[in-house]
Amino acid sequence: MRESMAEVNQQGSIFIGEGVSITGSLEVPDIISISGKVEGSITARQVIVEATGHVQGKVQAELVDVKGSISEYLAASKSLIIRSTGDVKGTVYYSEIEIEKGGQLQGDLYINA
Amino acid sequence: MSMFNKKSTPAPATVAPSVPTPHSNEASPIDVLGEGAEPLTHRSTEILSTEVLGEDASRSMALGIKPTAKPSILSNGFEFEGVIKSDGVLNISSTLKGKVFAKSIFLDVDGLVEGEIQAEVLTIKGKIFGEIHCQDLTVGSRAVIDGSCFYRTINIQRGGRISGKLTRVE
Repeated sequence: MRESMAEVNQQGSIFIGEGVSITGSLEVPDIISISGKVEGSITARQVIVEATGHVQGKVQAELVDVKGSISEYLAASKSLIIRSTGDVKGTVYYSEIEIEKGGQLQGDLYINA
Repeated sequence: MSMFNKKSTPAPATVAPSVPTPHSNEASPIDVLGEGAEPLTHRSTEILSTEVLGEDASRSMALGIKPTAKPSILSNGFEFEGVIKSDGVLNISSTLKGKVFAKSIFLDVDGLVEGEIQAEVLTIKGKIFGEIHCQDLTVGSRAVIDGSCFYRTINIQRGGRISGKLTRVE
């Protein structure tokens, strides 16, 4: 996934490296890839949380791919994938979901109408 | 009959005198199968493993259930209201209302459970409306789950629909 960010174009995208922590609200037109820590709200087309990444707050995106953790609120309008190391807690809205074995999901689940 | 006899005559001489079974004169299907091979009884123990009994057996063996224990099958068109309990494997393609307890439950595409379902290993391809308690939960791509879900490990294949409260238990 990180390649796709580099090879397509980086316009409208942000990469948050390991060790970086951000508080606030992020509006990202394309891809946000998180290896660090984010507190606050994220709106993007695609959210990728890498294994070292943590997000606490509100995440809204079309596509969400979680190898790290997301807590509180998550809305994925197209697809949500929780990988084997992924951990999602809180209120979750999705229209298509996949959880790999080992992935964790806790909270209230709703399917988008 | 004559067909079997024809088959056995060109075979090496070992076939005829070696095993003088009571049926040796009448060519039984076993003779045909056993042509040149060791007697069936010698292999039977190995055959009892997964290859013949299939997925259910390997699943039940992992759970420590006797591999020979066959799954209870509730087929399509069967409807039941009440409580079902089993120490083994349950394959459900029917409509159930009430409570279902088993060591391992496989809810097939046509299966529908309204109520409570409790199992160590639970594989869902059908529909569940109600409460789920299990250790290992696998949700197939055509499954629909609506209700509270208590699990230890979860695996959802793409397309599976699950809504309600999810709680992980140790």
